[in-house]
Amino acid sequence: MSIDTMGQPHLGVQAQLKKPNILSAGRLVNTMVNDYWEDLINAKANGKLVGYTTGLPIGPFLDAQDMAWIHGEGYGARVAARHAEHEPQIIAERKGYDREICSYARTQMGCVFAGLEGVPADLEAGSVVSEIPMPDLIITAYPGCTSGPQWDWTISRQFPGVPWFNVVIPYHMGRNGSGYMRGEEYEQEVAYVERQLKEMCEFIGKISGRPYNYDKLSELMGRVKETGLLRKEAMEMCATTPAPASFFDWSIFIAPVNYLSGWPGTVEALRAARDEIAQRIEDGVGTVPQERYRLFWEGIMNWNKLGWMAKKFASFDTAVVAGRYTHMAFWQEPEMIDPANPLRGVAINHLECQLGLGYQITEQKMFELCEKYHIDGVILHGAHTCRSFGRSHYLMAENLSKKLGIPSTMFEGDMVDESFYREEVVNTRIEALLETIDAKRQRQR
Amino acid sequence: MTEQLAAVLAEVAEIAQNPYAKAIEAKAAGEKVVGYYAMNYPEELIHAAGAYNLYLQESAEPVTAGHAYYYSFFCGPSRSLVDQAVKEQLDFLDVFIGGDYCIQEIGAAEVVEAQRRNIKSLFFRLPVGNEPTTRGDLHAGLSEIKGDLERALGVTITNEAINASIRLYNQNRALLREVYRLRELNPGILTSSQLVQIVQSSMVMRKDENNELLTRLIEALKDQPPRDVNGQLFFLSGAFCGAPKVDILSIIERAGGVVVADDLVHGWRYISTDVQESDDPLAAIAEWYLSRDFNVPCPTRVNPAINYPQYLVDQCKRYGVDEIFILQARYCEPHMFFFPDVKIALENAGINYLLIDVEHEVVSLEALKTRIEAFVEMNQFKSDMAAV
Repeated sequence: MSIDTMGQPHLGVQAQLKKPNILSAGRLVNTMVNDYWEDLINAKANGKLVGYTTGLPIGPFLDAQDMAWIHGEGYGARVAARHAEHEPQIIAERKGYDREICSYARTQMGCVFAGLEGVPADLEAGSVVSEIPMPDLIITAYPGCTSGPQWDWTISRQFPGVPWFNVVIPYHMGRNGSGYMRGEEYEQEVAYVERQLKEMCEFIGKISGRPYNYDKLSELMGRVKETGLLRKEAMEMCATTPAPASFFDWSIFIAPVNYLSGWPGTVEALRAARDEIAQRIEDGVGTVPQERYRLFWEGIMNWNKLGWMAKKFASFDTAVVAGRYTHMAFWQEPEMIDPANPLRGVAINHLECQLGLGYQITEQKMFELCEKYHIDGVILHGAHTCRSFGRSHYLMAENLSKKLGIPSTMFEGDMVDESFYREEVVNTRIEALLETIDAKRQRQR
Repeated sequence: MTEQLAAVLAEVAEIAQNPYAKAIEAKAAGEKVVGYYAMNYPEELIHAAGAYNLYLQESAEPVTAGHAYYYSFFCGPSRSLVDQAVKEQLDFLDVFIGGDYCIQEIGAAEVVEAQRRNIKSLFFRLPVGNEPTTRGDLHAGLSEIKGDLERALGVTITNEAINASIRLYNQNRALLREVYRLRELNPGILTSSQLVQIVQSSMVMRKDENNELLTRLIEALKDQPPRDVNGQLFFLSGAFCGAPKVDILSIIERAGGVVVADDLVHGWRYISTDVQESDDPLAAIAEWYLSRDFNVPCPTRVNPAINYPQYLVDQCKRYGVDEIFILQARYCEPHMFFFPDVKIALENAGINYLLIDVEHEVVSLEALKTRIEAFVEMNQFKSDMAAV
């Protein structure tokens, strides 16, 4: 994912434009993403079957059987990062898909319709839209969002006869005292997901026409574990002041722990990130030129605004240090992966991913992160078409204030549909939050 | 309309307009009250636990205090539930059950749990799909909620009690289906608003009392003389959680539309399928979820074996109608994901449709009235031309 240098944010009256200090190791991610894309568009020519997936990383399971894959959200993010999302969204809307539907879904479906029927004559869409390979199988593994399986159901209706497997990942609500990675509900649900992952491997093997390659899966999951451990270590190093890397860096590094999980180069990319962070700590270099505030990003990433947001916050001398999206998912418990017998570890990571947790567990984990990273305030990114993330924002806002004394602010936006942004509202809300933090500091002196 | 029918319908309307009154009375009399929201709950289990079983309803009140806890871009039914909870209007509940079939309802249930600690909150896991393992997974979800209900209410739920509740609930569904049958034979005897209220009464009353009310209603309906229906016949679809707005149904009927069948949750969807009595009643309820989905497909159930668009086409053909009103709650993603396929299926079958995007806070009835009237008139014109 590249940080765009186009589109300077407007900053209102209280800030001057400053550049964020994005990790240079992020360039390695760009290389991997490009390699993946080349592999994907040539997959069919190379005799590979293509699987569509949504939700949590299923790539290694398909890679182990020498299949290529498209991760719906990852695909939408890539399209948006290249500012090519408008056309597929228009195509989907013309088909009758309401713009209140998940914008990831609309973007991917627009690409699918462009691939199936061609790009309408009045629209100009690049190859990232029109060259999307058609699926040979569909696998869903969606935690914490009922819209995900409904999205794949919609895709599957466009491809009658293409086999579909849905890994039902239950909510871990905290019934009868169960908590994060503990309790009867947790144990039962881990076993439930693990069983389905086993069934999914059999499904993939059946589609491929040969026994499932568990040895290759073990090899790939070994790489996933190492990548996850490096990422966790690097993230935890960012508790220092000034923060050497930001939520925006970790958003760039989502790909190696999401749809590129197990991909060649992922370990090296995260090792480079960790080493760069260690050097920055030694040199006293922060992710923003002059860190005055440390914020937590609550909500999903806005891919077409990633660079725009990074600049905006840098200009407000604000390090967005951590986020629920980046820090509570994507192999967030790498220690639990046993490469020799990986299904249980995968089940644990997928079950305990942030979106599938009940509110009380979510709050506890999020508050732990706020304390660990010395957070001054919280941004609630109300992604308009991601109701899974937004469902508990206002509860969080109230309890952050009551229990931790941390102020928050909210602005609307979206993952890949920028029409939901109102820039002056964003500026005003950020300014108000920072002024609240200043006032609190003043009172404490 | 006979006096007897008018009296029963007035009773039904009173219950529908004050949907929690009877539950509050029961609470005052010392009963435990269990509320749940919205479709897909195993009501028989709650009844078998000896508790008052209340299907919570979308309120007619505008959402105000609830917006302090829930975004305005969530569906009306879920925002209304949050609003009712934070206004302390649900504090008569002993137990609240949320469930996992829609993310917006899950979030609303989380707010209820966090904000109303005086109400014991439970969560019902109802796995989606239709794989060889799904029956067993549904059974596991039912076993979980049964155990949680037993703990919350301090009771043991026996198989005998569940089977007795299944019998009672099947009687209720059969009576409601009889009301539907009479309306099908004589479409003018009930308006669609009245029919919605009749189903709503079943959702909020004790089932034995509701059975008695429905029996009186059926007797009164049988006495009705045949009524000529001059308007256009329509199928009414959608509104998967909240009851359709009476205002919208009234506009349809005042414009000359006659609704002859529906797939509403406050309608045929709620009563289409019976649960079998069984030595393993949880297995029977699990089977009910799957079979009901074939009788009236549900866009939340992620069941690739069903074909909701074709179901709507088949229903229109069965009832001899060429027009359909689709009520889609604003922000209802399950419905929005299906609409394009529904549209194509209807167009291919030559069935005209009008999609009505329903907000909790109705913005402009006048604009809606114009659209509905135009749609009814257009179809009337087509029918007239075809007859020439």
